Amino acid sequence: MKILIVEDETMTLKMLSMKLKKDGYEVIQAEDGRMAMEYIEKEGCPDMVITDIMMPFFSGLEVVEKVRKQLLSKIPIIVLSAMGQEESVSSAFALGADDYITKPFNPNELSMRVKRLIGL
Amino acid sequence: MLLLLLIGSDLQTKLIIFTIFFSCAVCAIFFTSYFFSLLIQRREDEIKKIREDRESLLLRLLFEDNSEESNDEILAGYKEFSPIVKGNYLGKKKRKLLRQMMIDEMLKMKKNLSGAGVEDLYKLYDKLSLHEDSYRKLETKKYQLIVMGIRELSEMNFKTYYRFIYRCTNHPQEDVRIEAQVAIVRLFGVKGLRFLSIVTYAISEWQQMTLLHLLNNMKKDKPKGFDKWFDSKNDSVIIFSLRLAEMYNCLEFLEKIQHLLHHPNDTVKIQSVFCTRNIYDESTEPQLLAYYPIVNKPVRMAILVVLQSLSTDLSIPFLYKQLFDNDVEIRFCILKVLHRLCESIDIINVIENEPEKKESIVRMLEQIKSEEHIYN
Amino acid sequence: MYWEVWFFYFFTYGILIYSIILLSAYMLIGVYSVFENIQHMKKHGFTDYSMVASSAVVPAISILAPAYNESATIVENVRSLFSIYYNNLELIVINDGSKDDSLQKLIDAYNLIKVPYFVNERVTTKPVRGVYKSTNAAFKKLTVIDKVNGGKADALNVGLNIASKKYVTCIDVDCILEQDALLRMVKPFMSNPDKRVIATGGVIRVANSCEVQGGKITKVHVPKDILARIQTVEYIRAFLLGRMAWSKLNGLLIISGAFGMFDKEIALTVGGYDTKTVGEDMELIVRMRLYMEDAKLPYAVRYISDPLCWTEVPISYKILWRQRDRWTRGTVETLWTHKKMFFNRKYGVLGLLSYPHWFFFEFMAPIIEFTGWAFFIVYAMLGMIEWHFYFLLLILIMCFGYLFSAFSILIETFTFRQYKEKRDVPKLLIAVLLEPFIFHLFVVGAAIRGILKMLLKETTGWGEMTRGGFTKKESTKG
Repeated sequence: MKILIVEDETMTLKMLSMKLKKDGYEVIQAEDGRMAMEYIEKEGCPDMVITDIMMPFFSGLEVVEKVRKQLLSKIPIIVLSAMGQEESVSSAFALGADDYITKPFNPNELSMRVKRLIGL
Repeated sequence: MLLLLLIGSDLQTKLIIFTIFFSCAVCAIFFTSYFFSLLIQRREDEIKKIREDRESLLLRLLFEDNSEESNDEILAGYKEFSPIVKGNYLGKKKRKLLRQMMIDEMLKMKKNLSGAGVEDLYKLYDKLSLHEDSYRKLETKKYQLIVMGIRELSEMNFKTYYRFIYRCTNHPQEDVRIEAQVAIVRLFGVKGLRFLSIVTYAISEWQQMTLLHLLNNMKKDKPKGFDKWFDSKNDSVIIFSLRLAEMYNCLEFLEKIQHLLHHPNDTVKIQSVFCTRNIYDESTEPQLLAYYPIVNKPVRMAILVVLQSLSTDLSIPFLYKQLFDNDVEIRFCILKVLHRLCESIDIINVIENEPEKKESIVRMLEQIKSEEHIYN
Repeated sequence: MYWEVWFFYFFTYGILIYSIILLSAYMLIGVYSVFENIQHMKKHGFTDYSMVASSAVVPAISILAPAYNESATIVENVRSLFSIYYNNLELIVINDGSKDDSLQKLIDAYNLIKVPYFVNERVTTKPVRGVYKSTNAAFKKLTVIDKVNGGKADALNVGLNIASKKYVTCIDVDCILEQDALLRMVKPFMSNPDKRVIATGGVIRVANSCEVQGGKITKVHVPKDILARIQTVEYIRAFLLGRMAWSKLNGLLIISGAFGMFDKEIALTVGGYDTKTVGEDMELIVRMRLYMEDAKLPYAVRYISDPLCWTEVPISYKILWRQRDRWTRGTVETLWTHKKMFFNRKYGVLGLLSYPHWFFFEFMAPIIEFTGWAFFIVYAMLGMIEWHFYFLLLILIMCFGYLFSAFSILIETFTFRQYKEKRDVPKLLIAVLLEPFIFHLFVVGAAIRGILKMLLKETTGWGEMTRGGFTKKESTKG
C-alpha cells in the first residue's frame, strides 16, 4: 500500500518514512504541497495521504482541499499539527481529513492510526 | 628599524611609510578573510557530513528492527562507541567530536518524538555511555559548556548527577542558573521545584513562562512547598508560586492568596488578583471590591478583569459609583463587567448627569455588544 | 598673506586630525563590538525558542501596518501577515485615507464589517472614519482602521491608540521575517527583571538576490548588483562593528525603522510618533529614552544581533539618493529636537557618548568631507597642492576605510556566516574596494543635500506617503 507523506521538516519526514516502511508500507515523500500535488497528478492517488498543516507556500489544508474537492477522492487523510493549532485541525476536518496526529509524534500511535484507516 | 625610520624623517617620508604599512595591512586582512572563509567553509562541510551520518545512524537504530542484537551489529562498525582499547584508537579529538554530534542529533530528534520513541532515545543515550561526555562538560570552568552539559543530561533524562544540577539552580551566572532550573523540572517535574526555596536571584518572566510550559506537559501532581514560597523574600518566587497555585487549582491556599493582596509589591498584588480567577469562594468578590479603592490603576485593572468572570449583582452598586472615574480605560473595563450584569439602559441612566462621560459610555457599550455578536 | 597660509595648513592638518580621531573612534567601537559579538556567539543557541513558540503563554503582541494606496498588493500582504508564526497576535492594518480601493479590497477579501468602536485618543490623530472587523472567525486577529490621511506617523499613532496588547511592533511589509523573529524580539521584555525594557530592535539584512519561498528566505546569496553588494558590506559594518557595542553600553540611539518592538504604554505616555519628522521611528525611541532618563527609572533598549529581518535595498542611484537624503534629514531632525542631551551629564551615556558621537562622527563627517573636497578643488586650482602629499594622504585614509570594512567581513565570517559560497567573500571584498569610488562620495552628497534641505526648510514630513506600510519599493529587485 502506498502512503504519500507531505512534510517540510526533513527530520520528521525521515522518521515518518522509516517507521511506515518498517510497518510494511511503500512510502512516497514530498517536501511541500506542490510536490505532493505534482506526484498525484502524475501517478494518481496513493492509498493514503499524511500531511503536515503548517507548511509555507502551500499549506496542508490546501492539500486536503485539493484531494477532496478537486480530485473527489475518498482516500484516508491524516494531518499532522503542532500543539496549539486546534483551529487548523478543525478546519482540516471540515475540509474532509479523517484523523490527526500532534507533533512531536509518537511512532506507535502513528502506526496504530494508519492501520486503523488502511489496515495492514 | 621601522621606528628609527619613523622618528628620524620628515612628514612626507613618514606618510609614505604609513601608507605602505597600511596598504600591506589591508592586503593582509583581505587575504586572511578569504583564507579563513574557505577554511571555515571546509570545516563546516565536514561537520555537515558527519551530522548527516549520525542522523542516519540514529534513524536506523530507532526505527529499523529495534532489537538489541541488530543494534549491536550496527554499532559494531562505529569505533567511537566502543570502549577504548588497543588497536581501536580513533584520536581523542575525533572521537569526542563524533560522540558529541551523536548527542546533538539525539537532542534534535527528541523534539520531534514523543512516547515510546523518546524512551528508546534515553536507552540509547545510556547504552552508548554518552552521559560521560555530558558530565565532562560539567567539570569545566567555561559556563557555556556547563550549560550544554546540564541540558544534555536533563533532556536525555539522566538523573545521576542531579545534585550538581540542583546546586546550579542558584548559580550566580544567569545562563547556568536558568538552565539548571529548567533541567531540574524536566527531570523531576513538580518535585524539582524545591529550588524555589533556595533561589535568591529573581526569576524572569521568560523563565517562569518556560517552566510553566514544561510543567503543563507533565503529570498533574501538586507541588509541595507553597507555605515557604508564599513567604519568600524573593518577590519573583511569590509571583511564580501564585501562577503555580492557579495552574494546579490549589484551593487550600485561598486564604494565603487573599492575604497576598496586601503585599507591598504591585506585581505580586496583581498576580494574586489573577489567581482568584480559579481560586475563590463567596468572600472573594466583596474582598476585591473592598480592596479596589486603596490600590492603584494596574491593580484595579486586574481586579476588573477578574470581576468579568466572578462578579454577581453584589458588585453593581459599587461599580456604578466607579463609573465616574476619569480614566477612560478604567471605565471601559467597568463597563465590560456591568454589561454582563445589567441592561445597558440602566447603566446609561446612572450617568445621565454627566453628558461627556455618557457619550463615551454609550459608544463603549455599543462596542462591547458588537464584539459579542460579531460571529453570530 | 599670512592668514591664507595659516588657513591652508589648518585645513590640511585639521582634516587629517579629524580623520584620525574619527577612524580611531570607529576602531574602538569596532573592537568593543567584536568582543560583544564573541560573547554573544558563545551564548548563541542557548535559548530554546522552539519549545515556547507554540505555547499558549507567549506574551501578546500587536502588529501595526499602515497602508496607503496599495490596492494592488494589500490583500496579499495582509495574507502574509497572517502566516507569521506566533501564537498570540493582533493585526492592525491602518488605511491612511487611501485614494484607491485598498479598503474595499480588504473588506471583500476578509469579510469585514464596520463595527462600533470607541477610540481612546491618548495621542491626538486625524479622525478615524471607521473600524472594521471580520465576520469570519478565521480572521479574528485582524482589525482594519480607516482614517483621514495624515502620513505614516499619524497612522501609526492611531494604531497605538487602538492596539490592545502590551507590546507593539511596526513591520514594514517589505521586510521578510525569520520564523522566530517575533519571539526573539519579545524575549528581552521578559528577561530583565531589574530593568524595564522599553524597546528592542533587530538586525536588518540585505535580501537582494536571496531566494524567497512562501515568505521565508530559503537561501542567502550575495546580491548580484554592485550597489546592493556595497550596501551589504555597509550593513555588516554598521551592525557588527557598531550596534553591538552601543547596545551593551545602553547607548543605542537608533533601532532600524524596518523592524522594532516597543512597550506600548511608554510609547503612548511620551505622546506617540512625531508627525513632523521624517525619522519618526528614531525620534520616538530617543524620546522614550529621555522620558525614562528624566523619570530616573531603570530601563534598557535591547538590540538583538541575530538576523531577524530581510529587506531589499535600492539598486538605482536615484532611489538610493532619496533614501540617504531622507535618513539624514530624519537623523538631523531628531538630534536637533533633542539637543538638550548634548554633553549633558544628566543623560549619562546618551548625553556624554551617544549624542556627541552621532554629532561629530555621523553628522559632521559628511560636512567636513564635503568641505575638504571643496577646498581641495579650490587650492588645486590655485596651484597650491603638493600632489604626492595629498595623494598619499588620500591613500592612507582609504586604507583605513578598507581595513575597517575588511575587518568587518572577517568578523562576519567568524560569527554569523550568512554568506557561505566560495565566491562570496571575494565578491564582498571587491565591493569594499569599489566603495570609495562609486558609493561613498555619492551618499556623502545625498547627506549634504539632506542637511541643506533642513537648513533651508524645503520639505517637511513625508509629503505624500511614497514609502512605508506596504508599498514595495519601486524597482529595487535585483
